[in-house]
Amino acid sequence: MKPLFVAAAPRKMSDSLSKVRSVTLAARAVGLRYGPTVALATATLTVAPGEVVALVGPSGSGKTTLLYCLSGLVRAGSGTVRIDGTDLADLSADDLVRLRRERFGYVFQGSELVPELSVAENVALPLELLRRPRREVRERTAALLDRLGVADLARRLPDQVSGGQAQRVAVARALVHAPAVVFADEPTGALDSANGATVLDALLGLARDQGSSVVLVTHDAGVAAAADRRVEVSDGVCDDTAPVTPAAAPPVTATAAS
Amino acid sequence: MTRLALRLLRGGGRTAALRLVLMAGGVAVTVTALLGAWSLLNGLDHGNDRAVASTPTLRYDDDRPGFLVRGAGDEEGTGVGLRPVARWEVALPDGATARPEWVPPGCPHFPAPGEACLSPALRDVLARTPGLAAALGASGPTETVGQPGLRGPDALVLYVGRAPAQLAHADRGTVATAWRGDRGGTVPPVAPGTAALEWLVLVGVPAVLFLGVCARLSSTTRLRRTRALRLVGLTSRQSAFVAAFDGRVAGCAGALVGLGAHASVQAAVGRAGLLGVTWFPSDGRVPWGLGVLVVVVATLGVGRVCRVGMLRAADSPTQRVTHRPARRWRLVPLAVAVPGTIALLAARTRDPSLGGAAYGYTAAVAGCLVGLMLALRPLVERTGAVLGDRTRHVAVRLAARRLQADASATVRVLAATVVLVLVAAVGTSVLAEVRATAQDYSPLAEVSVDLGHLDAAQRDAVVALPATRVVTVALDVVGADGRWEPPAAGAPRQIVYASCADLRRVEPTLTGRCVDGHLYRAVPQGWTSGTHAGTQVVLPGPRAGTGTRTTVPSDALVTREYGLVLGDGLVMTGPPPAGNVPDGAQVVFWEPRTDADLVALQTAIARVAPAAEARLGDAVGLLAAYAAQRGLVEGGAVLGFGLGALAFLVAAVDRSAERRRSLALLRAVGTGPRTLRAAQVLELAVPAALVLVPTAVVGALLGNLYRALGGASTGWSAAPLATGLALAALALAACAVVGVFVAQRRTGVRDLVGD
Repeated sequence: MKPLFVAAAPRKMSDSLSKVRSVTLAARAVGLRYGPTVALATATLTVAPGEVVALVGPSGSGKTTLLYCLSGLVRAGSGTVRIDGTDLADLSADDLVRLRRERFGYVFQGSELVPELSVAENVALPLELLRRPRREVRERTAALLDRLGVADLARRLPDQVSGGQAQRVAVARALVHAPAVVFADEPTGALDSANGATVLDALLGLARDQGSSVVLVTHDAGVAAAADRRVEVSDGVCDDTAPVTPAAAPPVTATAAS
Repeated sequence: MTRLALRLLRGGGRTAALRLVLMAGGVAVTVTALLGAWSLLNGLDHGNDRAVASTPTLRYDDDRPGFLVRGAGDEEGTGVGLRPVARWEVALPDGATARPEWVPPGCPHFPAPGEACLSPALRDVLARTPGLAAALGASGPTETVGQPGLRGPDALVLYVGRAPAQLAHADRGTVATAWRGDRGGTVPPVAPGTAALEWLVLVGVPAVLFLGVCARLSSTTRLRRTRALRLVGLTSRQSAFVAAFDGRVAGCAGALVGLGAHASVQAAVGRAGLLGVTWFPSDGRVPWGLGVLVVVVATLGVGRVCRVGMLRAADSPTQRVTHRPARRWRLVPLAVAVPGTIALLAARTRDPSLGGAAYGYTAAVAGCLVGLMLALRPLVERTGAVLGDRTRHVAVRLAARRLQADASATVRVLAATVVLVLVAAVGTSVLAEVRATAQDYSPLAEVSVDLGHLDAAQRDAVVALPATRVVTVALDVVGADGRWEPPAAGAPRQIVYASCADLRRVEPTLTGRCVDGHLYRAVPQGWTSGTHAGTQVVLPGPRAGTGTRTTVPSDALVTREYGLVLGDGLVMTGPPPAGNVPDGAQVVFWEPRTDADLVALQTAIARVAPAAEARLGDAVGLLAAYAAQRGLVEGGAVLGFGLGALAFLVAAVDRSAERRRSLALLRAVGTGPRTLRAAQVLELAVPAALVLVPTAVVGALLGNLYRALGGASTGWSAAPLATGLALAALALAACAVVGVFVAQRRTGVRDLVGD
């Protein structure tokens, strides 16, 4: 099978994480319905390599649905999502799996670690799926856990760590294989402000170090402010070609403000 | 609280509804199966009572008998195939009143001479088997025996009316009441206690496991719900009530459905027969009291099982459930039971007379079963830990870590299969032992025909039947008054005509050189011979007073004590000459092993000699017992296997449903379907192989111990191991299929946020 997406070539591991091969993610007039319900009406968005984009908007506006469409977790009902020019709709299910495995990383609101795997095994999972050398897996996992301050939890199971620790582990897992894009759905939504700040710093710091793009969904104005760009989604509509709101500007909706 | 529980039940969605249906279905199947067993046993019991009550009471010292009777109950004597016929010849003595004090139970009136009163089943049999009616004396006008005189709908009962002169020397009956003596000899001869025990093991254990599995369905979701209810203000007791509510509903509904299913089919099943036993609808009907008890027990029992796992959450809603590794002591019972079983087997093999072996066997079975169940969790956990630490394959690691972290769920999936493999391995030995016992007797499973009432041509025809093995002529004389008269001094008591081959088949230890066409002297080992070599004897001819004078030879066939040659006898190695079959001869056939063999033989006899009555020997009863036992074990095993397989499937599917969030996550991060499928299959197959193969070995040990204790068969048998391994292989294949099936389960990103 021809490689659709070239995984990052094996690199020499050191304390610093290596850079990724950047991609451009572009959504054009993306829409999705769940039966009669319009989850996303039309969304147009481009994420440049290494860019951090925050999707903001009231609950039910379609932010998360857009995130899922961009990340290939859900196929768009209409419009196109392209990654470096390749339309996701043209990819088979297997190709989508490979895309997610090689090029994307995910952070969900509830951390969503595999409950049976230890913290270290959870972080190592993407590398194991990519069949990376054992030594590289071990070193990279240890380095990330150390950087995120959870190295001492490596052998614990997910239900034996706190919510903030679990979310840091989830960040480590999302970034361990140096993905081109990290998708984060309310990564700090279930955390207190201190833990939320730690997780956000870790996520954005690591992503910027590696050159990964980040698309994050948030209600939190502070989190949105940390992004390079903020895109508002309202009633299933989003268009980043419209005039851009400066990232430091106040929240655009009452919901987001809350 | 009930309204809240009902509301939660209604709002539980498709998963809760499925769980409810599965639980109710499991209860319904269990209740139907167990009530079926109850009907069977109750039918046997009531049938026995009626059979006993139908037996005429006889007193021999009464000068003025109410009736005369000759015949036998259904425990012995006459039969059609393996189905015995209770056949009584009855007569009113001269001068008896028209209204006798006793009428054959179920008959409309006392049968007049030449008249017969027979059961509906016998009427059907006679209609299908021409010629048997004459042999049984039922060729005249007939009446029908009703339920009060029948053991069951398939009972073969016949009362033949005779003239008083025909029963001059018959037993005399005076009292019309029944005696209640020994109630053994049920037909088919399965002891109710044995049947109940076997069904309890074969059906009851898998049923309980199945219910246990159903009750634990969706446990994660229900735990979360219980915690939430507790946190919003319900008391611990109220939370437990809500947790048990759906179980109670399922138990109650399942019990009602089971009762209804049983009520609607028991009459038809009773008529058609279950495991060879038939019963009347009134015998198999469940009384109201028992029905209510079943509903109450099912309701409370299933509710309690559902509540058990929730109690900790109800008591301490904020306490996080952490994984605790299984304690090592759980391996100890198995570590003791297996060497104990081996030691007992060795001791019994060395010394077959070893006492207390039955208790030892019971302890070995209980120890091995409990030991295996207790050992499952630590074994599964340890395997997961070792495998997870050493592998590099994602699928293997996922499977291994799941085993390590959630061994209890794996145990729930495998428990039923463990019981099934164990029961199958032991059951193979039980059946082999029963079969060996039956085969020990099968050469003696004889059918005999008394040629006394037949004419010469019919005697010749019966003797010429291909199935004829032996013709015996008893030289003992029964006088006109019924008293036994010993033979003249020095004369043989019996002449036996049989080929050397047939003699050797009946008596493998026969010594001496047997040559066909020669006359031998048969001397039972250790008995003093009264017939000396050189004595002149007369081989009896076709009529009294005729025969051939011959001299007893010096050769001796030394035999063990055996019924074929009683005491002193002469063995003529060959058939009696045609046209020269003695009047008092009896023809013996043997080796009919099945009902069909017997019916074919009886039909053949009836064709050549319609009036000849074929009598069945004791060993035929053993063959019938074997057939009934086999039916019981196989029927129970099929039901138990069905329940076990269902438990396995339900547990596997439920576990995958509980993991859909985890599966969705794995898919989201790029785990391929092949990896997930492999993980799912390995998760089931690895512990199955780990546990079921030793289970098959333990089953083989127990099976061979059973054989060693039974004594009918000797040496180590590989059959239990083969059965156990075959079932284990089947279970492994099922694991693979189920693993692939549940891995196909569609999960989406919504599963990540669904909870």
